[in-house]
Amino acid sequence: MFGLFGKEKENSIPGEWTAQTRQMQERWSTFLQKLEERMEELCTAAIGELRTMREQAGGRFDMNLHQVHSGIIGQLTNMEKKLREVYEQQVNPYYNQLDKQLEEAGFRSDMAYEFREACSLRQEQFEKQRDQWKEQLERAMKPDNEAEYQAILQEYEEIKHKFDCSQCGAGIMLDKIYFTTTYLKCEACGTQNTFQPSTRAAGLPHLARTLAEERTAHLLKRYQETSLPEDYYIYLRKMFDEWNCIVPDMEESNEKFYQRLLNDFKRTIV
Amino acid sequence: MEEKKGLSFLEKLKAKAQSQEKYGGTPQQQDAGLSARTCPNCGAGRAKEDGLTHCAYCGFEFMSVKLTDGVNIKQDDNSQENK
Amino acid sequence: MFKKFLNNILGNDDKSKDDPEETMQNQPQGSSVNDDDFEDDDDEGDQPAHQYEFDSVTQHGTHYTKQAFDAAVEEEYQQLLANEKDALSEQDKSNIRREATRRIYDSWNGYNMDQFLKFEMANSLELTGYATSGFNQVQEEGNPLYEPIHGVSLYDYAALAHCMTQGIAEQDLLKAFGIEKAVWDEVNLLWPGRMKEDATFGIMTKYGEYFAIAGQHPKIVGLAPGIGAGGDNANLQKLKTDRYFYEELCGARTAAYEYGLDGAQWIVDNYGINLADFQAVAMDWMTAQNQNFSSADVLHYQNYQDEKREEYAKKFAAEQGGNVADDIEF
Repeated sequence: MFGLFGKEKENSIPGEWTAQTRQMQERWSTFLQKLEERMEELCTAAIGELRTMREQAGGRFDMNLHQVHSGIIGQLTNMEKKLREVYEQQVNPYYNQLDKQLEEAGFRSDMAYEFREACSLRQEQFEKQRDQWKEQLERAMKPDNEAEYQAILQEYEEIKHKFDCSQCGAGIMLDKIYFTTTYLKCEACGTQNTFQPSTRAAGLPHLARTLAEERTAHLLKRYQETSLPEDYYIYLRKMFDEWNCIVPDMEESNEKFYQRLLNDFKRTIV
Repeated sequence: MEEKKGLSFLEKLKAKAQSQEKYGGTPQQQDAGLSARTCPNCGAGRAKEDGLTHCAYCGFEFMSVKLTDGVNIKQDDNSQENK
Repeated sequence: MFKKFLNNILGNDDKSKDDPEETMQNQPQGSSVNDDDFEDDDDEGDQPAHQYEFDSVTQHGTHYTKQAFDAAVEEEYQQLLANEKDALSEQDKSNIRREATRRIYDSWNGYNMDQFLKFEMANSLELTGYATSGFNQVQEEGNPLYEPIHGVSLYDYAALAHCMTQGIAEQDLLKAFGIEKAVWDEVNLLWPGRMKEDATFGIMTKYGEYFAIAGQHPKIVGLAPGIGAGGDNANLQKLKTDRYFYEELCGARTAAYEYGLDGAQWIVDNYGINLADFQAVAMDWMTAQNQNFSSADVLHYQNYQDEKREEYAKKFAAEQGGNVADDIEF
């Protein structure tokens, strides 16, 4: 129940004004409630759908998934726009008019301020729910990166002895996971063969960074809580160690990036 | 009727997304593969010690660039002509 | 208030007598700006910049030398530093130096925000450590960050990326640049790697500039885009010359994504413009905006784009049976 009155009672304010203000406030609350219910219906269904689409896509990039997600977010944006319009065209003018009325009649503006404050708080409730739905929608789209990595490792085990030299037919073993097209020398005849990785394996460098960040998210969170430089250094080093572990071939390039981030950070501390 | 609004919107949204052609087409999922490029001039294959950029037998230019130290490809993979 | 401002411009400190270069009448003589002066002067609002002339490259006023300016900034910076009680990080000091620069610039050139922003952008690498597109700030020659990777320069890389996005067959493209897929795969990891290494964003800035002129790269002559209606497309020409048309399509594309469409494909379907060409034109408009900076213009075009986005959003909504909350009334 929203408090319409301040600590001092203004008994002489016309009852009609109080009733109208309460009515306006309830209308606003009901309006937001209807939006919240529609938002819940839409997002609950969407989350289920996005999860299904994500599972069907596996590790593959699925544009449809992202389009559906964008479309849902677009609808939330549309609701926010509607809310803003109602506030600007109905609620705020009412507040201004009430404030003026009270002033002209020699009353304090408390009732007007409290009305506006109550409406604002109710709006914050809506926004909080909206943010929670957005987070859930985002999570529904998130692929299982660990599973994808395992699939890449598994694929490697399955194919590493599969290939023969195009020139002489001798077996060419894949000594590691290649994620770029690579020249592999045949030990028997010396011919340079061209190995093209699968689309899945080619995604490993990008997956590596995402995975490294996921695995060290708890360290980043700790730094965000403590703000201690030492905690940042621990997070950054561990994140890069994970990254390099997944794609050791990128270590040289990654370390330069690490240095840059470290220098950027050091500039911000005393 | 009102209860179905969100659901029917979602169905239409998904249908629309799936029916629309994707920019650049839908990427094909490819398996790993091994092949070897031979010289279109003389048919020779490339041997590791002769480098990747030129044919050791007839000098045909496979690649016109000078290779540097990359991920797996190294400077040493330049043929004599590039060194 | 105005008198104080005028005194600052005309100057009355001893610095002018020491420096033989500053002998012009009404030459700004350094700054005795303190907090009070600054607040008073700010009340004057924007001064018209046309009373001064500005160097088209550096955006410094032509009525003083850079040397004098830098010396004045250094003095102001030291004064501001002296006022700081807490220990400062490099970033803090950088911000204070930026503030010192702003005070001197405003004091010597009239208080015009657009002109100052133009000055900051033109000199951003020096002033802030970050490059801005369109001001030739990046020094590539002799800089190891710009060394070609497997013989593929940054310009080559941008042109390759541009062409890939235009749907040109990869085989034809690689052949045109004299490389094989193995080289391309590595280059496509290592150039982005260099961008991550570069704290000044110089490589990214140059990449954007090269992307904008990718169509002129000598190695792609004769390669026809596989997506869109081609370079002669009247819509593409219009996109390059008509800012309102460009902003309209930006708004439409955003609305398309908001309604679950592939916005880039929608542009191809309706205007025959592929994404690479669109983004190259976007770079050109952004660069032009930076070079002729006007905050009023920026706002004007942003508002126009928003209006168009609204219009197209309504259109897309209608095609899908309306928005999900259309029936909810206050």
